[in-house]
Amino acid sequence: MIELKNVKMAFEDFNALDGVDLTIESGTAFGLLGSNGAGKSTILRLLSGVYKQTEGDVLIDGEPVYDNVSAKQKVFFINDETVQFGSMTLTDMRNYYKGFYPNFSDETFDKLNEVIKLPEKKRLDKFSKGMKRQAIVITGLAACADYLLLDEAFDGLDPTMRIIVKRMLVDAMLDRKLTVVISSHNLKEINEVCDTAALLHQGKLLFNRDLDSVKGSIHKVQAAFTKEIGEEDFGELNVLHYEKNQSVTYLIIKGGEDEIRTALEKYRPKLLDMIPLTLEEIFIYEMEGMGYDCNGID
Amino acid sequence: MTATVSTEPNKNVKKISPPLHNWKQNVRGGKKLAIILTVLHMVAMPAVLLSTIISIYSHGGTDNYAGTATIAVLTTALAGFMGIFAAVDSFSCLHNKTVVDMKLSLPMTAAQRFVSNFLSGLFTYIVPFLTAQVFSLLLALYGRIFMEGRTFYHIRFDNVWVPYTCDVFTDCLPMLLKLIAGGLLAMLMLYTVTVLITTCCGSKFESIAYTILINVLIPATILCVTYSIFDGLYGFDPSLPAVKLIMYTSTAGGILAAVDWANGSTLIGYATNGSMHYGAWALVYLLIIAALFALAFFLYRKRRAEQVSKPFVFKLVYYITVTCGTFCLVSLLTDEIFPAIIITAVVYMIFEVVTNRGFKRFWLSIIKYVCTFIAAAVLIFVGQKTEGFGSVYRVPAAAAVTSAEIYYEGFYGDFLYIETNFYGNEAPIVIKDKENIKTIISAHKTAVLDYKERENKYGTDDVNFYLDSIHYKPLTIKYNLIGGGSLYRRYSGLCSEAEEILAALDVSEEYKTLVAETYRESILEVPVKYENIIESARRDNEEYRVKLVAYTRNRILPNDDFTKVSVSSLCERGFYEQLADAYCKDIMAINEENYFRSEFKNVWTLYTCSSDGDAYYSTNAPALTVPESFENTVALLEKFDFNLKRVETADEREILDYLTRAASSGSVTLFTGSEWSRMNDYGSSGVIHAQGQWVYGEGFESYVYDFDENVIELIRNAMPRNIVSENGYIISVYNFSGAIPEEMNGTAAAVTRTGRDEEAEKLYNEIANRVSTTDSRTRKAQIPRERNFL
Repeated sequence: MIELKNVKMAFEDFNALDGVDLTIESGTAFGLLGSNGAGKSTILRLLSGVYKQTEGDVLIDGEPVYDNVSAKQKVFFINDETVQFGSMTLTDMRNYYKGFYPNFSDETFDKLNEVIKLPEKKRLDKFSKGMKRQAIVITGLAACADYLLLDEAFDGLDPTMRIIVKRMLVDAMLDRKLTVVISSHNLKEINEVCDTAALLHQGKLLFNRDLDSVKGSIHKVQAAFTKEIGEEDFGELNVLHYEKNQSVTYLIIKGGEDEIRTALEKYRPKLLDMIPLTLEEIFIYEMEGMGYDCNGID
Repeated sequence: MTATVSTEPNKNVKKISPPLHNWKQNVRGGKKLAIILTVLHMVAMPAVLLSTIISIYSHGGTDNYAGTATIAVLTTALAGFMGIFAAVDSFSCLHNKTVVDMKLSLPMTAAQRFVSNFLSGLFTYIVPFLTAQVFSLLLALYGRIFMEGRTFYHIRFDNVWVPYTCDVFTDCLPMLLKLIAGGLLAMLMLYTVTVLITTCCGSKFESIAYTILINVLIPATILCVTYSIFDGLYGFDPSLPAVKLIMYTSTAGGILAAVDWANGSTLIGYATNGSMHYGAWALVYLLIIAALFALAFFLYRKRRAEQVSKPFVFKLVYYITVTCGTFCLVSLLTDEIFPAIIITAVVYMIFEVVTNRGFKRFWLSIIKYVCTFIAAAVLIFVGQKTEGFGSVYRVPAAAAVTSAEIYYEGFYGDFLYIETNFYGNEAPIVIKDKENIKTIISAHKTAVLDYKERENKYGTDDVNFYLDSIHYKPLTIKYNLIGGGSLYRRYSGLCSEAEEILAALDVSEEYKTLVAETYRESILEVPVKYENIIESARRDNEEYRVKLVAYTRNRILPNDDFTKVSVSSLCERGFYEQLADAYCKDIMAINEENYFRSEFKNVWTLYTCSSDGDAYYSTNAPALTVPESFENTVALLEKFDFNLKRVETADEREILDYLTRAASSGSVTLFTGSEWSRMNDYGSSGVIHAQGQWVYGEGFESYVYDFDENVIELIRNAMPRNIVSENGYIISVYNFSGAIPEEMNGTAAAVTRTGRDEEAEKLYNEIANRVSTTDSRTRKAQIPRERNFL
């Protein structure tokens, strides 16, 4: 289990994380969402022992991570860079990590590479960006660490390869209870892989829930009322977005479907449709609620 | 979703060592650099040795080394310099942002990562050097076993086969081993300093640039500041503290020490008066490297991953650089305050602007500059004004001294004189007797007080401040203090009072014993050295003999043609053993009576010459001085058929011819005056003629043109030294001079009158009357200046 307890991380005069509390259960796929500079990569670096938190605790299975070999051996971190491996071949990369991770499985590595068929003797700087990413992902999976941290994991992969990589991750989760933490701006992928997600903004945690409950907690409502009703009339509801087009009112409301429906029935609507939101829409509206939107940009 | 591949954990968990694996991976990564370094080292020392071996086999001799040696020095220097890259590359996670996540997320502690990175870079740097040196040692060993002592032949331009006996490999092996040991230490220092600086910097540019700057600026600053404070101070040789400090604190010092160690202490040995102990140096140098390593480790652990790409993570390295630069410039510009301010300010501000990436908080830069400049200026100003923080006047208490090592020519600098190069012996005389130590300290104190008095009276800009060159006889003292410290002073001259105190040392049993032993060792080395040469020549069917030649060396008549006695003897150990015994016995017989009032007139010099048939070749062998009063030695030489010619028996015609020749190419001069009331031997310093027409003391010089029987009489009786109760006379021919016995003052006065420069004497008397002070030294020093202007 991963635990972040009141974690603060400051870079000189900039607070990257400001009192984050987060728990990630073992064997789950966890998505880290957030705006640029929200602190997603910082969390991953704290979890992999690259950074040392300014305050609070970062624990893996109850152990602090920073400068702790046994905790770090449980974590494999794949960041969003691939240039560092340029001088290695795939075999070199396997041999490199094999010496650091005691559970490293050559068999797994070979089997995974049979699927994606990367050349083993070619230097990685001759690979495309996607191929490099495939290489590091299969290495990370072959390391057989308990926790796999992926920063922009699917960046550069073609659609087919995305599916293959996702399958690999899911298989590992099923086979050996791998915990995957993914940070990505691609919400569709988070949606597909993760069962829990956290949303960060300006170093603070906005929510941390399983995705089904996230999706059920915010709704898009399309309604038409018999009398004139303005935004201020929905004061009892947590309205994130209000828009009126002639007689049809569009609302984004935080809350359960029943709760919203009951509240709106009071106004005797001629039309009341509740449309589920995609994760991307939830992200946009949540961020808009925090003042992070694209309004004002023509 | 369909499962693609099972990724179940490995059942057979391997035992791994991440730091060792990291070390191996880094070494693999440094493969290219290691290959380049190996090539560079191989074309250095192994190439020089290989070309020597080939040259001896193919040409029957060693070729000119200059070409290969130059390449060797350049490639070694380049390979040494590349240690910077080995260190910087091993710690890529400190300056390369793209590898930070990859390297720091690996399961290792910071300590494990630091040590394995350090060792891997060091391995890449050192192993090529060691590999090349293994080849060097094998080649040197081959030469030592299969070639040394063998004769090879080469054909000369006139078709004559010329033999060459190989003798280069015996000394080569120990030299090589010392060079390897010293070189390794210097490389280790450069590497550790680079790691420390890389730990303090966040970018590759700053790491490399500041490594170079620090390595240059630290020795430069030590040199500049030390010289600006200590140069020219009485008894103080700034090269000693400067070289010593540099040796312990920099890579350049390490290289200097390594080369010097291998080369037999010719450079640092000179600067430290032979007191350099390389074993101790190596140990201290290693401890300093260990301290730098510990500091680098401490800072490494303090560093945060997010600080990569900042120019400086710890500004320590930056402040050391700008402070050293400022101190260096200020010490170079001590005489010109405004240029010093302007130049240092410009340099400092350039560094500040570049480091701060602009003019932000520029006022802070100005404050920092002002503080640094004031610190440098105050240090140098105070150092200069207090004459090296009082070092000039520091004399240890006798109780604090365990022994005193002295290089000293003896009070009168004649026969009890350890020539520093006598048969290659450069060891100082080590005095342990408490009374003798007190004598040395007392003389030292007197000299220092005299210096202070002259300084107070005249100031350092006045010509009167300086000792007459008559006193320019070097004395070097190294006090070994209780607790292991030492105090070292080197005087080019002492005042008369100090010299007189020190004279008691010359006739002390301890001093005589030590001097005698030094001579014994040196004399006994002569046959050993020459027997080898003779034996080697015999193997080659060559005739090679060593002869001993005695020259009569009355100070006035040093001419070889006139005085050559030319007695020869084959180099036999038995003779030299007897010579050593006799000579030591004579040294031990010296007492106050015969030492200060020497009656002898003849001094012989024994030279060892090689001879090929009837021709003599100079062997550059130093001479052994045999004064007439050394009865045992003189008797031994005569027993061995040396025809020791004495001046008093010289033919009158020969003396006159000689004097005529001397007068035509120089002068024959008589000096007199109260200064000569205690006649010294001026021969060794030759100050009178070296200084042109200068006359010291209340006296005058008189050129002699008429060489009658009086002059011949004076020459025959001139002595190396004398003590007279009244004004005495010195006769000088060429650069040699001798004291006239008191009973011959009448004759000397008569000769003086024949060539007296009446006009100059009159002028001198006028000047002397104008001098208000009654201090003889004042007049003594003023007169030469006035006379010189004339």
